[in-house]
This record gives sequence, C-alpha cells and structure tokens, in this order.
Amino acid sequence: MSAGEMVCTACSCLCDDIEIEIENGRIVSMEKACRKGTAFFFGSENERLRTVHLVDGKQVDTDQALAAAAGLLSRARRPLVFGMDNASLEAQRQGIELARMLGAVLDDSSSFCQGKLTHDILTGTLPSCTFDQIHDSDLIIYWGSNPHNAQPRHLSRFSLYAHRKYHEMGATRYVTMAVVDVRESETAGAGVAHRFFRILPGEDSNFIAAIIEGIKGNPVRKDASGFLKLLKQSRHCVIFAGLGLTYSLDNDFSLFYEMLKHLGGWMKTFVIPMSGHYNVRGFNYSLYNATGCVNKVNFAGGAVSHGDEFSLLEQVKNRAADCLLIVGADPFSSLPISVLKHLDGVPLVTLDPFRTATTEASSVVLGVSLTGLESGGTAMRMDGTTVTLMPAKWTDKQSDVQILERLKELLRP
Amino acid sequence: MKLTIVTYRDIFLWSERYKENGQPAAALVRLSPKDLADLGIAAGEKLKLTNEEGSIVVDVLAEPKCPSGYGYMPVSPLVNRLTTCRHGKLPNFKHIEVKAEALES
Repeated sequence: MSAGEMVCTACSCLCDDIEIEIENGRIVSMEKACRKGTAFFFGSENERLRTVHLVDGKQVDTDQALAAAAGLLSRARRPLVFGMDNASLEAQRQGIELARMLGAVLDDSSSFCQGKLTHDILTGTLPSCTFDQIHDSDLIIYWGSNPHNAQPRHLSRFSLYAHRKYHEMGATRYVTMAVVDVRESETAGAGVAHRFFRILPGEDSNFIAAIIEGIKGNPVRKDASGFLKLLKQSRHCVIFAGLGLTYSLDNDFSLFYEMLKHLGGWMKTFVIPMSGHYNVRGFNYSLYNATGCVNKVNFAGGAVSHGDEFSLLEQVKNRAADCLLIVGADPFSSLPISVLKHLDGVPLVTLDPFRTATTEASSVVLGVSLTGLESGGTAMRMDGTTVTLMPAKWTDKQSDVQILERLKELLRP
Repeated sequence: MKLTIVTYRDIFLWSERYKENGQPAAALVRLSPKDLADLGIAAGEKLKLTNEEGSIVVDVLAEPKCPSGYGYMPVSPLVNRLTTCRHGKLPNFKHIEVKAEALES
C-alpha cells in the first residue's frame, strides 16, 4: 500500500491536502476531499466510465487513433481547437503550439464564463489577490456564486472559515461574509452568510447602479443602502465573482468596475473570479503569454487575430469550423443544443480521461490519463497561484501532454 | 403560464456523472407556492416547459423563497434543450423564457 498527499483537480480550488491510499493500483481511501473530489477520483476507477482510443466507435491502438486524428486535422481547412481548461499548463502549451501550427482558431470555456475578468486581472485593470491575502480582509462577498455546490471547500479552506481573524460568534467577528444572489442558496442561507442581499434575476446592473448612486449621496433602494452601509464599514474587501454576476451583466462589467472605482475612495477591493474547471485560469495565463489574448484567437495565416467571432459559440453557430479538436472539455453537456446542432457532420477529435457526451459524439477519441491522479504537471488555481500536481497512481494510459506532443509530431509540416 | 427559468449548479448532479447508472435528478424545477397554485398543481407533479428551442417534462418542487414568475433548474443537458445563444451574447442560462403547462396526472 502507498499513502500520500495529492492535489484534487475536480475544481479550480486545487486543494493540495488530499490524503490518498492506494493498494494494488486501486484507491482504498481518500480523506479531506469534498463530494466532487471523491466522486471524480473514485469514478475514475470504473473502467466503464473511462475512455479508450476510438475511431468511428471502434477501439484502436494509440498509433491508429493518432493517425486518424492527424488525418482529420490535416485535411481540415478551418480547424478549431477548444478546451484545455481541464489540462495541465504543460498540455496547454502543447495545445497552443498545435493550434498555431494548424493555423486554427483556439478558444476555451472562459469565452462564455470568466474570461473577461481574468483578462482584466492579467492586464492589471482589475485588482485581484491570492487566497493568502484574504486574511487581510474584513469583508468577503460571494456575488452570483454558490461555492457550496461549485467549489465545496472554498469557504473552509480558503475564505471565511480559514480566515485567521474569523470568530464563530458573530458578536466579536472581525470578518463579515455577505452574499448577493438571486436564490437563497446553501451559501446564502442556513446560517452561513452573515448578510444576504437577494436580488431578482437579471437585476445586478440595477443593484450596482443603485450602490453607485448611494456612494454619490443620493437616496437609493433599501437593499442597496444596506449593502453600501456594509461596504462603508469595510477597509479591505474581497469579492468572489460568480457566473451569476457574469451572466446577469452579459459579460459587460463596466458598471461593476465603476462601482469598484468609487469604492476605492475609502477601501481596498479585490476580485477573484470563481472559476469552475481546474486550470481555466491557467489556460488564460498560457494563452495571454503566447498571444496577448486570453481566448478567442485565430492563428490563420501565421498571424494572431482576436475577436468575438473566434469564440466557440460563434464559430459553431456560423458553421465556420470544419473540424474540432477538443481537449479536456465537454461542450455537449454544457452548451445549448440549439447551438450544438450546427456541429452535425463536423468531425470531432476529443482527448478526455472520461466518457462524456462529447466523446460519444466524436469521430476520434483519445483516452488519456487523469491529471492529478495518474499524471503530473502544474496548474493554476483560481487565484493565480501555480500548484504542482504529482501522480498518485500508475497507469498505462498516456497523458494529454504526451498525446498532444505526438499529434504535433505527426502534423509537423 | 409564462416563466423565466434560472439555472444553478447542483453538486449532487455533478457527482452522479461519475457513477455508473447514476440517476441524476435534472428533471426538476423549483417554483413559488403561488405559481404552483396558479398552475393548479402540487409539489411532486409534472410540468411541461416549452419554448422555441424545445420541450421538456420536469417534476415540480415548491421553493417558498422563489419569486413568482421564475423557476430554478439545475444545470444539465436536459435544460439545455431549452437554452439558446443570440449573436454576440452569452447563452441564456440565467434567463430562459418558457411556457409552463401542468400535465394530467
């Protein structure tokens, strides 16, 4: 039996204190992981949930699968590479080089999630901080996010309950946690949040506009007034911005940034996007370093261009791509079917450790190891901290890095 | 009745993806007691949700704090039969307009 600590890659918290015991190549115990982490890693032991190499539904060996993938990609006139949010930084670098070599469009889920916020953090437009710096805060705000379901150990390991100055007894508390949401979620209710500001769906911009008016000294609605009072008592605030905020604002954060600018008159405010996939922040970072853009790029003609038309959604809706390489992503489970129907007849090549709706729809599937458990590398936590992943168990499956390297070799002009 | 569906993440649904023969409870919508009464149905009964993109049948749960006119559904491929994405916009995961009809039990 072997025992040790590992990093969980089930979400972008990248919890690095997971205690795991392996016996005869199987996980026998896992401590400290949340429900997501345990489901993810114990699920990986069920071979029927794992991928094998497939070409048109028939199992093949690695060489045959790679040859089929390379054939489809080399014949494509407008290839699109998508995903890599569930891939290590090393795999992302290989994927970006491959996309460049193919002259492909390259995008990831951040184009319809938190890419705008991460872009503004990387360019220095939006102040952000690491989890360690949360200990200096006196106000924590979850806005349009419910970590109880999406990042289950966020509160206990990194924010409220991990805060050095947290007191369970509210009367003496130094740090306050507030939630702004449309639903009284598990994070907002059940005695977790100290303050809950419930707004109607789609009302975030009105709520923010009212806060700005309140800062200017104008009379405002009662909830905005209460929120502003909380802000005025704070000197150091961290806002965890969730997809609820992003979608309510339809990716236009101008009013939100105006509010932050006004708040800067008396307090420090930092924003951390509540990312989902374990290395989506890493993808934005990798691509930004390579191209100056965090997503939605086009390498056609050997140059780099960027624009909304290069998002997966627009590419698929416009039937712009004639072959997709999907790495560690499952758009068929997460996107509107009204969009996905435009992919009918478009060949898909997918790398994934698990069988998914996307692998089921793919012409070529390349089964890879599960990064974090079966292969190592590095990844970037949602707060921008780089974390080293060490494999805890052996596998005969190749990693996504190895597969992408081999694909690059096959496609090299 | 017209409803606006707002999707949310559900950890149990996420975890079920990693179980063989898991039975994810994706087919449910949480509505206000007022809307349940207006629809003439009780919690546990079925509701048909329809829009231009498609139609689905879901179980109904009562959520006292849900505002009237809205419904909460967990993120899943099922609700994505009703979602869409207009040009230059994000998908309407948080604002899905549907017509809700009670099904005969």
